[in-house]
Amino acid sequence: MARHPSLFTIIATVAGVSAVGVAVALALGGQQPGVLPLVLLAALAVFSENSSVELQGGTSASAGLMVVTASVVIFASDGSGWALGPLLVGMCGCLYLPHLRRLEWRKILFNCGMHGCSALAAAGVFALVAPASLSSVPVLLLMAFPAAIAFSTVNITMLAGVVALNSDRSLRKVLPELARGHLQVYPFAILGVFLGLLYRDAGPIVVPLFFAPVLIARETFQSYISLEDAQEAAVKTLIGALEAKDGYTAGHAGRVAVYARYVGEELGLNPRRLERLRFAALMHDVGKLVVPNHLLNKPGKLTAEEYAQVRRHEAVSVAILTRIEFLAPVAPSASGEFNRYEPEDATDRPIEPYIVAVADAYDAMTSTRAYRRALSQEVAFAELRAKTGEQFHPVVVEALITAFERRGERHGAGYEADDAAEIFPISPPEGGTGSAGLGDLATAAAELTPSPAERARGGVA
Amino acid sequence: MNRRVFATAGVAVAAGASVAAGVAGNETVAALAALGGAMVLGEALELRPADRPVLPVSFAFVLVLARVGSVAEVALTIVLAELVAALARVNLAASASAARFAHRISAALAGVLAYRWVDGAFHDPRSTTAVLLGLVAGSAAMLAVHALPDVIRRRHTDVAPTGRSAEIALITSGMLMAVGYGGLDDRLGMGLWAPLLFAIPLLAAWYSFERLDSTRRTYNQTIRALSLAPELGGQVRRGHGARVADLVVTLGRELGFSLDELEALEAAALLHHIGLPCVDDPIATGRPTDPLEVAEVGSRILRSTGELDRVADIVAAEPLPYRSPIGDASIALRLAQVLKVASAYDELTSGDPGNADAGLAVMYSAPGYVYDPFVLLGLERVLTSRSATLA
Repeated sequence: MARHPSLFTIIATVAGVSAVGVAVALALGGQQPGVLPLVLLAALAVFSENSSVELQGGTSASAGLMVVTASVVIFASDGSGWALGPLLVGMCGCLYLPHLRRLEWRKILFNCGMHGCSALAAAGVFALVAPASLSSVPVLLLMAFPAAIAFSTVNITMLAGVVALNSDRSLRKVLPELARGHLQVYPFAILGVFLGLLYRDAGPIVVPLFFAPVLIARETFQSYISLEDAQEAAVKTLIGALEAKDGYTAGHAGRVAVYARYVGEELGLNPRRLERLRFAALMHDVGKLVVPNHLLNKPGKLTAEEYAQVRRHEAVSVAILTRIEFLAPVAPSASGEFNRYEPEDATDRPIEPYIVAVADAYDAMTSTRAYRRALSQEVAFAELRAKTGEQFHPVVVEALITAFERRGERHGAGYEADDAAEIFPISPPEGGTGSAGLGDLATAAAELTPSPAERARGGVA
Repeated sequence: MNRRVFATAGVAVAAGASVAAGVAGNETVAALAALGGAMVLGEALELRPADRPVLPVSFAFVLVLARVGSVAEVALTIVLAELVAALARVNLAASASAARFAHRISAALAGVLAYRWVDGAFHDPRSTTAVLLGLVAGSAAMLAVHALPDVIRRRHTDVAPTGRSAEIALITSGMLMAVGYGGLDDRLGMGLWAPLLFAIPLLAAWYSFERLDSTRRTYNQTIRALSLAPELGGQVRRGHGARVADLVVTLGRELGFSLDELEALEAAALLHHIGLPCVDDPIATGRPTDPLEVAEVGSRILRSTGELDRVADIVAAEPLPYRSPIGDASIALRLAQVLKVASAYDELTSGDPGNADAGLAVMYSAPGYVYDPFVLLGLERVLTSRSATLA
C-alpha cells in the first residue's frame, strides 16, 4: 500500500505522535490507572492482536475490541484513569509481530494512533453515558453499545481514509464495505463488557478464567475447520480415484455437484442440506470404482451382459453412501432406479436424489461420452421436459432450467467442458444410449435441433 | 411425551419459580430455581471431545450451585434437575437412563461437597484463596467421579496432550460463573447475571466441539466407506480394510507409536487398496497385478488432495522391503512395515483367528527382508493377548 508514500508517512506520524502526546498529557494531568489491570489488559491486547482468527473475510478487530471494551469498563469504575487506561491498552494493539519483525514503523505508528484514538473515543462516550456510580448490569450492557459504536466509527473512518488514499477507490465506496465487516464484532464488544463488569466485581482472577474457554473454543473451532478440509480431501480422493480410472468422465462429478447446487439454491434449501446435496452429487458415481477399466473405456455400445455389469455400480454407490451417516438419507441419489420420479411417490421423500438425477442426466447429455457426442443445450432441456413426470421431478427440471437461464450459462454442443478430440481415440457417434437411462437420443436430437434463428432466441419453447 | 416438550416444560417451571421467588424477595430460592433450570438445559448439551468421555455443560452450573444456599437445598435442586433431564432422555433404555442419572448426581454432589468442605475449612470462606481452592477441589472431585466408570473399564486412559481441553473449558467457565455469582472478599459479585453471561464462551466452546465431533464422525465414516470400494468390487476379501485398521491400531500401540501416528496409520490401513480398482483388470489384460503399481497409484490419488500426504507416504512405502531401523528409516517406512505385516497377516488367515498360528508360521518363514522382525514379534504378542482375552 504505497501510492502516496510520503502522505502516508505524514498521516502515520501525526496519528502515532498525537496518541503518545495525549497519553503524556493525561498522565501529567493526574490520571493514574491501576498498574495491575493495565499490565494484564495490555498483555491481552498484544496477544489478541497477534492471534486473531480469520472468520469469513477479516474480523481481525474482534478480540482487540473485546479487550478494549473490557478496559473501558474496568477503568471507568476505578475513576482515576478512565481515559489514560483504555488509551494505553488500545495503543498496545499496534504491537503486531509481523510488522515489528519487518520494522514497518509507519504501519506501527499508524495502528498505534488508530487503536489509541478508537479506545479513547469509546472511553469518552462510556464516561459520558454511564456515570461511575451506576451498577445495574443490564443498564451497563446497554451503555456499552454507544461506546462500541464510537470505537468502530473512529476505527473505520481512519482505516477507510488510508485505504482510499492508497487505492483507486473513493472513500464513499470503501467506508460501507469496512462498516459491514465491522457489524459482526459487536458480540465481542458485549463479551468485553461482561469481562469488565466481572473484573470490577470479582478481581483480576477472572481474566485467565475468562480467556481459557474462549481460547479453547477458538482452538477447537480451528481444528474443526482443518478437519473439514480433510473431509473434503477424502471425498476428492475418491473422485480422483474415479477419474484416474475413467478419463472420459473427467470433471463429471464436479459439474453435477455445481448443477445440483444451482437447483438447491433455486429451491431454497438450507446451507446444511446444500452441503449434503453437494457431497451426494460428488459421490453419486462412486460405485464406478468397481467396474473393470476395459468396460468403462469401451467405445461404442456395450453388450447386454456388459451393460448389466456396469449398472451394478449403482448398488455399490448406494452401499457406500449409506455408510456415511449424514449422507444416508440421500443415498438413493446414486441409484437410477430409485430416483426415477413417479407421480405417485410419497411427497415426504427428500428431494435431493431427484436433483442429482436431473443434474446427472443434464451433464451426461451435454458432454461428449465414449458412446455419443455432446448434445446441444436445447435438446437437453427439451429431453428433460419431455421426461418430466415420468422420469424427472417436474419442480427440479424447471428449477435447473431457470437457474441456467438466470446465469446465462450454456453447455452442450459447442460449449463442452472437455475437448473431445483430445480424450477420445475414436470419434464418438452422434447419438446413442446414455448411462443416465435416457434411451436413444439420436432421433430426438435430429427432431429437436433448433434452427439458427431459434438458437439465437436462446432455447426451445 | 415428546422429550423436548418435557425438558422445555421443566425449564419453564424452573424459570417461573425463579422469577416468582425473586419477586417475593427470596434470592436463594430464585437462584436455586434458575440454576436448576440451567442444569436441565446443560444436560442436553454435551461436550464430546475425541476419544474421551462426554461432559455435560450442566457441570459448570454445579460449581455455581455450590455457592448457593444449604447443602440440602442444593442437593434437592440437583436431584430434581437431573430427574427432569433423565425423564427427557427417552431415547435411552430405562436402565441406561437410570445409571446415567445416578452417575451424574453422584458427580455433581461430590463437587458440591468437596467445595463446601475445602471452603469451610478457611477462617474467611469468602476470601479469594478459600473460594478458588474450594472451586478447584469441587471441580476435581466432580471430574474424578465422572471419569470413574471409564477408569474402571480401562477405557480412554491415554490422553493426548491437548486432550483435556474440554474439561478445562468446562471447569474454567464454571469457576468464572461461580466467582462472578458470589464475588470474592468484599466484592459482592453480579448474581445470576454471571452464569447467564458467561455461559456464552462455554456455548461457543460447546458449538465448536459439536461441529468438530460431527465432522470427525463423517470423516471417519467417509474413510471407512472409501475402503469398501475394492471390497465391493470383489478385489479384496470382505472386511479386510476394517480388520487391518483394527489390527494396526492395536499393533502400533504395542510398538509404541504416538496417537497422532496411529491415526495416520489407521487411515492408511483403510485406504491401502484404494489404487487397486484403478489399475487394469488382471483378467482382461492377462498379467498379474503389480503391488508396487497399486501402491503407486493409490498414493498418487491420496497425495493429489494435499491433505492426506502422511497417509499417502505410508501407502507408498507399504510394498517396500523393510530396512534395519538402525539407519535412516523414516517414520512413514516404519509405519508402513506395521501396515504390511497386518495386511499380510489378514490375507494369510482370511480374517479367521483360528488360522493365527499358521499365518504367523508362514510369515516367520518368509525371506528375512520381507517383514520387520520387531513388528512380527509385536504381532505375536498382540495375538497372544487377544487369544488370552478370548479364552
